[in-house]
Amino acid sequence: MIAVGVAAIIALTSLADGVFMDVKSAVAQVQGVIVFQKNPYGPLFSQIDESYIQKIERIAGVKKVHPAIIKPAREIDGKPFAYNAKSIVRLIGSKFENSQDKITVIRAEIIEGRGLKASDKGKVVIGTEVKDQYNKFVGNKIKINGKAFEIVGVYRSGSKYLNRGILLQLDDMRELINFPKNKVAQLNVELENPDEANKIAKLIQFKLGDKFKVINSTQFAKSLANILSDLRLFVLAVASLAAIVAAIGILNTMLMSVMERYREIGTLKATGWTNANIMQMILYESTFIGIIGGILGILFGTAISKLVSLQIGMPTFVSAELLSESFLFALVIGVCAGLYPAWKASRFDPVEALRAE
Amino acid sequence: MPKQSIIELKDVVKEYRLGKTIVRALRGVSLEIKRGDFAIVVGPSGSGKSTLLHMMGALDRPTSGKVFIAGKDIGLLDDWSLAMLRRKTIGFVFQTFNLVPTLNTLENVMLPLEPTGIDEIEKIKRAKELLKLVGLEHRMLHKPMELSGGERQRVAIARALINNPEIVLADEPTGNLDTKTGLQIIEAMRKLNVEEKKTFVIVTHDLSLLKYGNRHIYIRDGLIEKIR
Ligand SMILES: Nc1ncnc2c1ncn2[C@@H]1O[C@H](COP(=O)(O)OP(=O)(O)O)[C@@H](O)[C@H]1O
Ligand SMILES: [Mg+2]
Repeated sequence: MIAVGVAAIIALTSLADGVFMDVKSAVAQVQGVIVFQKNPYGPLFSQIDESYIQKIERIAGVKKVHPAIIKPAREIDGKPFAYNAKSIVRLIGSKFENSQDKITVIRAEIIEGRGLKASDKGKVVIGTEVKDQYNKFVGNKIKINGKAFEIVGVYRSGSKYLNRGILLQLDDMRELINFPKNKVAQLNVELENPDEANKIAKLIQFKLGDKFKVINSTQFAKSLANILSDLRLFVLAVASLAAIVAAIGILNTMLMSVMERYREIGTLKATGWTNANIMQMILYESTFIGIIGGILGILFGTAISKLVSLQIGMPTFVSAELLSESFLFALVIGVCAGLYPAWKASRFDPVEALRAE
Repeated sequence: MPKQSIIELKDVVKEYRLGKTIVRALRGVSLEIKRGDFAIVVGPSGSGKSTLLHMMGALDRPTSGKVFIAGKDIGLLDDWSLAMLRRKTIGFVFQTFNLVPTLNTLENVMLPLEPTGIDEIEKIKRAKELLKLVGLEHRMLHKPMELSGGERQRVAIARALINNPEIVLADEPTGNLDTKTGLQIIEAMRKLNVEEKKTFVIVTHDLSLLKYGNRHIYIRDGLIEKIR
């Protein structure tokens, strides 16, 4: 019973932690300011004219503007995605210029081959997750939405989500998804000084007017972090409730076991066991149940957590802290649930207990 | 040299409250058990034999009167001191054996030593010696379920002796055994009485056991009828 509670805590918390860490790192990757078109259908349908790149780059404090179109791929190597989030590969089209090792748009590094050059056409750089999933190497071809591309490099970023991506030049991207010429979906603004994000976001918003939505990604990350930590708290509360129900289960089990052993406990007292000895014995037993429950719960919880992460592609994170906390929790529940039965058993009158049938 | 008394009861009254009525299980009992006695207490069912034995075993305090065990007035002792007195001085044997079904013979015998600081090797050594003494050295790893009634009572006797007590108190030890096995158990106790110099008090309603005792205590309706 307690194992179920502990498993629930571990599975849910690790999921919340995992999502939290991944979203946080994904958002941290695109630090700076992002500009979308204000569009009644939401940022997914955002279209911005390329001419705004220069306009924004003229603003003081702006280092560079990276135009981007980010869309999920429809199919890779002829295999369509069932839209189950598990394996979605993101296509990241941007203006890649000089096969640099660092990719500013998503803060990734090239770990094999090279980056994209401005003149590259029909060439892509894939993320490590894509490489592993499709078993690709530099020099191989990869078919995206039915069209073949040559892989010239592999990148890795700090986020699993972002590693499930394919980088390609804007023109290739537009052609692939039928995006209007000279338009991009978003502008990622790189700043001279990241601390000025707030100030410059306001400045850009002012300059561009209310046709555009300017997001300060640091701030965005912060509010996201708040939502997610609330989620973690909620998950913890729900799971703790389950564990408390489990504790009542232990209490009940121990009470039953103590009642069943009424005569046995009377006999122990007759042979010279003190009330404290009896109490200690029952407490040991309930603590033992707690420990076993804790271990089973940790095993189940970690397994469920892994399964969830494999099945639905949600990242989970089982921290050492979470494991030790839930173990301690099970142990404490075991001790507490044993207190009343132990006290009760220690108070049995040996004469009555020995007379009992 | 006159034998010293090890248990002494003076005008012991024991009352139990059953709802509103008060049951007088002992109504003024005085007696003495001396070191080395093999005393047999006989009386009909409900006459107060078990209650008397519990008094002599420091399991309970008298309602009035005094009980001295090895010189200690048990009416003045708290629960902890009573437990310690039982641990050091007294071994109990019961009609229903009262073994722990999940433990094997050796573990059952060692059970009273569990709360003591004695180390495991010493515990096992002592338990093995006692099992040899009661003739059960070949049954050490059996569970109570796998033993006959007579064997179970021998395990209980070994358990009663593990703390090396001066006194062994037995409440109808032959009550759940056939006549032949019952006699073997009594003879085994008699042997321990002679060879190990333990004091025995045996409670029974079986008059045929009287011949084994050096002292006979007859009890009826909570009163001593006669002592021989
Ligand atoms: N805990 C108790 N509560 C109420 N009555 C009791 C209790 N213990 C013993 N008695 C009563 O005291 C009397 C003596 O009991 P007991 O000592 O068990 O007799 P015996 O062992 O000779 O059969 C009986 O009438 C019994 O019902
Ligand atoms: Mg009786």
